[in-house]
Amino acid sequence: MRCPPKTLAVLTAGLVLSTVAGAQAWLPPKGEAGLTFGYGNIYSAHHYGIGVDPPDPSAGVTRNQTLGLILGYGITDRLAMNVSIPFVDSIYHGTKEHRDLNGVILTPDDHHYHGTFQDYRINLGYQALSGTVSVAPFATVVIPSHDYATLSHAAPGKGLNQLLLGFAAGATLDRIVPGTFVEAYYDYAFVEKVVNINTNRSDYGFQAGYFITPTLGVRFISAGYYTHGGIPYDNPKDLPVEQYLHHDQISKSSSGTVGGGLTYVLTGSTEVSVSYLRSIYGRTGHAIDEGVGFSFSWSFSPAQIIRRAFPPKPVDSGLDKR
Amino acid sequence: MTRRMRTAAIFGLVLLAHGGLGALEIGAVAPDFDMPTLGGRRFTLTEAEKGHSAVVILFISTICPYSNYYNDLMRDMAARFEKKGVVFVGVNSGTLETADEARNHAREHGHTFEIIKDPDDRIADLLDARRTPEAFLLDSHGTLRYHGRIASKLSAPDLQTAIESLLDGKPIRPAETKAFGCAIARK
Repeated sequence: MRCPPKTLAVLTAGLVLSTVAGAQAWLPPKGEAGLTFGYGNIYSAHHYGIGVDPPDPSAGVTRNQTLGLILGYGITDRLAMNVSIPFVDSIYHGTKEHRDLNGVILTPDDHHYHGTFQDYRINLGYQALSGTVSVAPFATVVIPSHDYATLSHAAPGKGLNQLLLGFAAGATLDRIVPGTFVEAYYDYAFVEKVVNINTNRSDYGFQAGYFITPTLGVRFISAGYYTHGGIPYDNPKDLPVEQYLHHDQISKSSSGTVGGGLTYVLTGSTEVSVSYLRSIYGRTGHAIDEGVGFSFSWSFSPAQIIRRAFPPKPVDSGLDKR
Repeated sequence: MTRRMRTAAIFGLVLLAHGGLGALEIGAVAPDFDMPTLGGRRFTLTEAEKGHSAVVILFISTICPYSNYYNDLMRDMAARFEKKGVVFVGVNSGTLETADEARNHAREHGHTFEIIKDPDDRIADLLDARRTPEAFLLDSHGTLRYHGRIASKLSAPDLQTAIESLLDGKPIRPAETKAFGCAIARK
């Protein structure tokens, strides 16, 4: 029985949150707050093995929905932070359920939807360089919100503390094609060890965008990860019991996805976007056959909101007082 | 996706792509206004147009982060293009900020261009300005030649490029961009 170590929930959370909750080459200015609500829906019909084997269609068949809420704030013109927490709801439809040592099917794989909050993500970014080329190193702390199930196809996440250190870089290509830009990020994730096994990971992503009109943009998206440590296995039952009980957390895995998206600027402080992703390669993990994401973002000034609630008095005439 | 759904989706996208921009069209003549400035002078748009190569009207705020982000750029552009006959004027619309605050803010950030306090949103309504910062570039005939953001988050110097193109007699591309920032609160 092959089991996916990288749960689909992690990938869905990434679809919803990755581009807004972490790596950003262009950070908001001082005093600007942003609220993003995202929804992701991923369908997996199979998952990858450890080598060149074709994806196994009988083990996948998982649907995963994620609701994400991200709150960001520009602390200074160079320093910004955001926090997020996704709610994950997933179901397993396949025939190779995860079981405990007594052969009983584990709850997340019982063919019913199970929803729970996943991991807090707290991100701090620094605008080291801004202009035609922008660079923003960042640090992200990932903390599981509670002790959720981690062994199952439909597990909500890996349940591991992580520290991601990386950078995002972006550039405008206006001089070549007006309205175009590219953005990329890389981070190295220091992941909490499980049964003394290191599963540190590299994450990376790339997007290229073009504004068709001042309000409508189209994007090409690509993202992936590679686990540097971890244990490669074909059948987790071949592992020692201690490792079998954590095999979803400790496997050596990788993934690559590509897709596209549309962004529409509604009012100048609100925008909506839709995106589509699918896997192009992977190792020991679920394949994304259909991944659809939707997000709504609102940027606002808390200072202005406070002013609206408590307007200044009196409003003078504007005549010179010097 | 059915053919009908596809058609509806394309129609929706076209509507989205063309909707939501300001009422004053590029190429239209901006309506005149006459208001006192915080410096104690009067600013009459038609008079400013006659005496300059171009007029830049900037809707700005003392508390909007995006407007404040461009304080230095506004100061530098005003100083640079003043030598080329371009006059900048700042407009602080609404009642959220007082004239004193606008005056102190201008002094603090070295904004030597005139600032108009527009408590009744008169100028904002005339030009249909919705955001801070939001820029309107008029030529010497009062014709709107550029409208939108000062620069994008992606650092495209849209307003600067527009002014340079206007002064060089070249077409302005893009002539309209989406201004992003804080809403100008109407009464």
